[in-house]
Amino acid sequence: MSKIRKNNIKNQNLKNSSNNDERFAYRTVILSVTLAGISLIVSLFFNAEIITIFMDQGIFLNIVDIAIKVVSILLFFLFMIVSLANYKELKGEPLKLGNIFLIFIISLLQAFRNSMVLGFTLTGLIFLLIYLYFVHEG
Amino acid sequence: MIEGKSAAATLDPVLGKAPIIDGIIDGSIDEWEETTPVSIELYQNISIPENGLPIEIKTLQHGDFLYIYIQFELEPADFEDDEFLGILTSTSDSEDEDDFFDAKIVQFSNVTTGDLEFMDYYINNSIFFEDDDSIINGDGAGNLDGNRMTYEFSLPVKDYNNSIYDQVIEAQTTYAFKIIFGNTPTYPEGISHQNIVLINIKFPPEEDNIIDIELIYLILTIIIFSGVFLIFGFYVYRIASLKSQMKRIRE
Repeated sequence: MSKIRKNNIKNQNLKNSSNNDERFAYRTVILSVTLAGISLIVSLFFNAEIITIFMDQGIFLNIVDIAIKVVSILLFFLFMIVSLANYKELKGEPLKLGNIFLIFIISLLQAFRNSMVLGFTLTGLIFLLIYLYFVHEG
Repeated sequence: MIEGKSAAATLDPVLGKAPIIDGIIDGSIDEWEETTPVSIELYQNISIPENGLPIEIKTLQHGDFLYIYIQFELEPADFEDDEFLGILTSTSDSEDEDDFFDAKIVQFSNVTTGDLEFMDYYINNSIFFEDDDSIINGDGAGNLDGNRMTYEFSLPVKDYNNSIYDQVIEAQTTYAFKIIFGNTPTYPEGISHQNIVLINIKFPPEEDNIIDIELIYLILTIIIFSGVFLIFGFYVYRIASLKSQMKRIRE
């Protein structure tokens, strides 16, 4: 009798722990996708050249402009990967190479207007991919 | 009058972005940025080049128009309310007085308030006759900013209206242009300073064949960012539906 109760409690604890893990993972998905959305909006404003206040205003402000554009795209990529990885985990599916490739392409496309931004973004994305690969392997 | 005087400069217009003819140089849209100013002086008598009024002149071609920019500085007290600046077009590269047939003049009625009129004249035996209003070709404006006066003109490089009053400016031809300046609204009596420049009119590219790079960039930007936002929106929708799936599984 007590053995059955103990097992029940154990099962209940396991279920609670699993639910907590799921909630945590889901919250991570939401938080990451929100941050990716904010990065995407920043990227839209600067990379689509809706905001051009720093453009052609001297070398310093040009660097600031390029930095904002590159960083917003890299953050979008990073948060999207984190979000998608957790989303896939919640669904019990692996993160496929095709998914990473799609995010890579839609990140890179945002930089198409400026060759310098495109170059830095491509370099940054490759570094991020290498970093994520090693973290995953580790 | 002017006899045997060679032009102060020969100008090659830059093929660039069309400026807005308002006398204001808008740096935010890079107006006149592609052009390099040429400094000349306007004289009371071109044959006796002294006590000149230094001006900067820029020329630009866009589509079927030749744009001319003229800027100079004077002490504020030296600006007269009835100031004018005009561009006289010769029938060719001839600088003979009788060959200047067409006149485009920006005539102020009050320099301080910026009240002005763009006037189109033709010249016959040194007498200025006003064109028929319905066939004014080109545009002109001026603006005083501090002690700096800026004039902008646009002259058609094609004869749109077949006007008998206007000098047709042909592409790949050199024309003499006389810049006239004065403070009394009578022509030619009111002209106090003048000089001549030659402008080599280039062949204007056909507007229809120009692929507007900026427009292509704009369309691509809209397509790409719409696509990215669609994918992002779909992903957010999938996350939202995952929550309800999770709830159902838990229940």
